[in-house]
Amino acid sequence: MVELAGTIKVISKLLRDFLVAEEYAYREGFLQGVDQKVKLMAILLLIVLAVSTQNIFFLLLLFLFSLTMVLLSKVSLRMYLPRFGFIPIFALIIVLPWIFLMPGQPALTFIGLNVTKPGIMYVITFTLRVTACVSCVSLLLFTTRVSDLLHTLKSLKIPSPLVDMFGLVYRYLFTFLSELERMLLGRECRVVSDQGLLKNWRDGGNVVGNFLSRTFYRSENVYKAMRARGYDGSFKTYPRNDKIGKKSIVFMALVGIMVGIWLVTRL
Amino acid sequence: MARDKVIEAKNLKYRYPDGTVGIEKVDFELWSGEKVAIIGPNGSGKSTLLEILGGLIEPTEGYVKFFGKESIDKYELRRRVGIMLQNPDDVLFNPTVREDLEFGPAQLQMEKEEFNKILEGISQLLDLKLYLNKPPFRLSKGEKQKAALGSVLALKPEVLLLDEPFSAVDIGAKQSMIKYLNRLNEDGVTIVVTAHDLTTVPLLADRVYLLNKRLIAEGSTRDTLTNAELLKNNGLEVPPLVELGLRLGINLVPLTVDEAVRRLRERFCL
Amino acid sequence: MHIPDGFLDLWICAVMYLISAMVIGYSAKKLKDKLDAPQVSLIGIVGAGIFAAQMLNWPIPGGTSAHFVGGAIAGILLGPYAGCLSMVSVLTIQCLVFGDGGITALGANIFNMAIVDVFVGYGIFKALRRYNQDVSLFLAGWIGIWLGALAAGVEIGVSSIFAYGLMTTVLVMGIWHGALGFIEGIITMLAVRYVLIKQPDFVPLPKEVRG
Repeated sequence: MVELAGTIKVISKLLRDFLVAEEYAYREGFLQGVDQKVKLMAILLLIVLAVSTQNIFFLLLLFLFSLTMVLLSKVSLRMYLPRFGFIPIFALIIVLPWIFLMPGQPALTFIGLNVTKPGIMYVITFTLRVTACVSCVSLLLFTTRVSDLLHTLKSLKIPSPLVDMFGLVYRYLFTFLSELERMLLGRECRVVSDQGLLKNWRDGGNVVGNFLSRTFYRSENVYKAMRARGYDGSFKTYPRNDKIGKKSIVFMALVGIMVGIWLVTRL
Repeated sequence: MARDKVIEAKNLKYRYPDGTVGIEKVDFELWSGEKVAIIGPNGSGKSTLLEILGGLIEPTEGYVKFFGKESIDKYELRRRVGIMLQNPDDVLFNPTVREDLEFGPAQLQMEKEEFNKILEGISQLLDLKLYLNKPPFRLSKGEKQKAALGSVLALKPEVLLLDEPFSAVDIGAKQSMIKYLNRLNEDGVTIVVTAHDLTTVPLLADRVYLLNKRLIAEGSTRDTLTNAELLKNNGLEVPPLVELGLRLGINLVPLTVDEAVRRLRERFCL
Repeated sequence: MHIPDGFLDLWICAVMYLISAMVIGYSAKKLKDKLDAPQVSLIGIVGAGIFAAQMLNWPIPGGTSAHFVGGAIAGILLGPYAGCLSMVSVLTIQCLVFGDGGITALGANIFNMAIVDVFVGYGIFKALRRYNQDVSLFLAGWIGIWLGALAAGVEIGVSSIFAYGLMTTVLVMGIWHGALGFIEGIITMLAVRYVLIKQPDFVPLPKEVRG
């Protein structure tokens, strides 16, 4: 059976995270003004660099770089860091045993086990890498409107029907979440007594089945609305004037410096 | 100017895939420049009829003819006949309201300059400026309804089919939407609305089709709405003003508040 | 089960992107004559529904709770090719809009949850349905997600960036998601059974599923 309170908490968190990020995406900050295509490609590049280096100095620098971008983009660090903080913590916990497992020169002994220097280095590098990566991705989330993002994907030659599907997922997610919430609350009101585990589970399954059937129904109506306005297989849009402005050039230069540093650390 | 027949439908029948009958034995005619309402209780097949008239679904039996042509090009149909479905959440399927307004014109390759002009006009009239860059799910139901109307108007259709367009907008917005639609009509746009709440019908329609699975009656708004028995028999609420007029035995029953005020003034020399 | 950035070697990411892109291309081609307007809206909107349903909390003993992924459900209700594209849409939006799963790991995440889960789930359902529909649905959900998790285990395990060996990652993912997958199986069974029994006419089930 679905746990109502927990579900509502999850839904609310998703919605709140999204709204906060969206709010910042509308501000007039540095990254918000960078051309979307440049931004997306540059962030992808930075993450690729992070994944292919062992250099702690570079990873630390990349993390600081992303935080600088956050500040320049008028995003509050207090909103930014908690958004993804759990991922580095999770990563740290997973690889922590390697401070003992990694063979090498012992740094100190802890309840009879050797903590090795390479072990410590590995754990720090790994956690720092995950942190830098997720921080870079979050730059994208906090400074890009979804509609622009989808437009960018199209201009990067991702096939239009696929991007249109992405758009529909985004558009109807929140509509469906509130529908789901209503369905769950409605059921909660009707179920008075505890009806036993089996029945509870079946009920939960029925809610999911019923809910999914409704999404099918919805898609039929949306399809009608699309046809009503001339849809024939792809969402056409007017070209936008994405000009590569000053901010884009500055950003590219900054990313270029990061690439340079990365190259130097590889020598 | 001789009026052209815009839509002509004969002996329509629609059966849902599961076999239940949506509507049957419905004839419908629409002349250029008309304002028509399709009224009927919930589940009477109004939306189904409207969707057939908009060319979105094919009738199981019978035929629909647009602009007197035997067959019509899909693009021509979409450009000339605009249809707004009942649930604005279905109509607004784009990431932002602006893209929803842009969708139709972009599909049908309207010039961008022309669209920009239209966009300006529509967002002004429907008060949409603040919402243009918002995702539709952040709008209230009434705002969504206005945006949905805007997205259909953006195509500048000659014929406008609207399914319960005021069910959620607030009173002020309703008044201004009605005024706007009437102005469009004066400029030559043919308008069909469906309604189960009859209070707005006299403000927006000269002619009425009463539907209850079958076509029950067709006639002027006055004749139909003042036939209390007909309305009641078909599950519709008689508008309070009409009820008042009928019970008082006034011999030209008022349909709108304006009309009632005028009549009462004459009567009592107010 | 969303792999973040920094857990996979770059070459694994590239390989998984390549494989996923090929399967997506193949699925789109398979749908080609059908990948017209109704398919696009169906795939996108049912995808949004699956995303929303993933937010449901299913309590498990021990006080924590589980979420289901829904790949098998998508594969069965939409057919494998449309189901795959639907899950691809969900995972991409989760990655780019909600920060769930890494950008470099997107190819791998798509492979695990939108390809393995969907095609395996559909395949099991199709193969075993004639014996017992409920059991086939349960196994479709369970084994689909389990193999998806094992694939994730392999991807992480062969990555040198992640110090644990292949044995460990496969074992951990296998045991953990083997247990969690039980819930996925039950929900898949109950939810799909509901849709199949009710078979509302607006659910255009694939021919081979409608039966």
